[in-house]
Amino acid sequence: MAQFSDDIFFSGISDLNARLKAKEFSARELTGAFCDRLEKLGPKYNALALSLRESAMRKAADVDDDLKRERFRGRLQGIPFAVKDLISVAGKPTTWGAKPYANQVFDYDATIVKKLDNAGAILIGKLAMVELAGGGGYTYASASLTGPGLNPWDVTRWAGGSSSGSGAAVAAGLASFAIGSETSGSIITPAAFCGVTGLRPTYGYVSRYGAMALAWTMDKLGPMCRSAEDCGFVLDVISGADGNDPASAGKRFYYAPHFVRKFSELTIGFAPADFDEWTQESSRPALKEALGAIRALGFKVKEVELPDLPYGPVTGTIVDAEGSAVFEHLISSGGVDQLADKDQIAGLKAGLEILSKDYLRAMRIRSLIQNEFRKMFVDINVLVTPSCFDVAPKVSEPLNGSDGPRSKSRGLHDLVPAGNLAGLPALSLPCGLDSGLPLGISLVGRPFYENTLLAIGHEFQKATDWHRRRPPRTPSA
Amino acid sequence: MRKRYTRRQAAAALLAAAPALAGAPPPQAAKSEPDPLDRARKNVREAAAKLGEFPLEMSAEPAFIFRP
Repeated sequence: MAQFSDDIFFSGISDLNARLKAKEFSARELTGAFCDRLEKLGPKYNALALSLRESAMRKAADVDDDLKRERFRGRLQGIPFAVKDLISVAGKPTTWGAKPYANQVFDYDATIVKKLDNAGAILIGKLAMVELAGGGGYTYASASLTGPGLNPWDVTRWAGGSSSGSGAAVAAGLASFAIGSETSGSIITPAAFCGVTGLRPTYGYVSRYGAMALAWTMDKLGPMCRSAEDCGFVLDVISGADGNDPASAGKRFYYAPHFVRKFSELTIGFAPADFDEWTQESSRPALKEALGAIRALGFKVKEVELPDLPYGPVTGTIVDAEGSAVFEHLISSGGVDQLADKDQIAGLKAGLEILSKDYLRAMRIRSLIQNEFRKMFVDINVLVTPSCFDVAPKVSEPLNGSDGPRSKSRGLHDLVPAGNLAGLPALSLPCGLDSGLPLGISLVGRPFYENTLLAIGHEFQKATDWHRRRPPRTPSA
Repeated sequence: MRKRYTRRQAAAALLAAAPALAGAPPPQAAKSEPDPLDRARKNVREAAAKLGEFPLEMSAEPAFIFRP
């Protein structure tokens, strides 16, 4: 029986796969060790929704058989991973993080689960999340069936949302990678707060069939990993056309960072106000250093800011209207009152009262936002901005405790809602610490520009080691 | 010089001092928190108002196609 040091739980996908193929350890041994860790430490961070040890060990035995016969299926073969609990796994509870759905079971696998299974990846568990992915808006980190998502870097802090468990699990080495979802910020935020690398793919790149809907026109699924390279390996497997997802773009992603244009031919856009004014003062040195490290890769640079458009009201109106329509039965039946967060309950109810003219107005302004980005991406290839302007907040405090605008300049402050409205891909990279808490820097590009974002991320991570840092207080399993 | 009180004056003074003797101010009506649903409806109205301020030409169609 292989004895694993903690290092194995923080290894990259390539390394784990190579060692499996070299028979340093078996898939069963690796999977068993990850399951032990997920079951022991997952509850400490309120990150575990459901362990799938039994089916994982069966799958691992199949993988070992394949490896023995040299039937290789790619880099994800034998890699233990976990999914946010809004993704259906046949015959297992899929709670959507919410009490009214605590006993919900689907009889089919989500497309993303099937694709990963076909690639030989091993699903070891389902991960906690903010109830209903935060539809309706929530005020406290406790808005979850499993309690507040705790940050492995400091358990008095929030792991971020709504993919809280996915962020915490990767940060604490409970799974090699995790799948999260983003409607507006739900991958980028927990990736930044937990110090992991998170990729929000272009809208339509990854099938959402079998995943809970929150806002049909904005939902995306994506990987949360140890590195940009690992995100590339995972996206390569999970992308592609799916007739079961009406929003499927019908495109497949091939991870090929070596075919990306020379960095000296690319222009990155950034807003000084993001780094000098919008960001919390104590985080500025680390974020500026990260920006410097990206610039040092040889790009041309240009200062930019977002056009003056009402990103917040547009996003709020669309997500509230679509989310309340998705959960209309829950609201009208009174089941919504079982949710943990009062503001979320109220937000879902109020969303049913949004007038069609206001929803359509929001969608019309959204067209203009998409057009503005098209124009911006003529001169600029990639936008760079802090993933979040503050470190992870305390779990005991309201999450909306804003002290008002910190700058008169718009900068790229609203890039999370704006980028989500336009369906743009984003990559959040760990880039430093402030008072022991992780910071993230984001790269955003035009649709289907993932290879460029991942290539830049990979080079940044070759020049820095923030993605290799581990939470200092992670206990051993 | 000691002031002399009638029994009626002493009783009135005692009654007036009663709250202070109890060591706590008289209870005041608690400041009511806004109802979450009222607050959520207000947010919806405010968002709609902000969207309404934005000028749109007839040619601006809703963004129902997301494939670039």
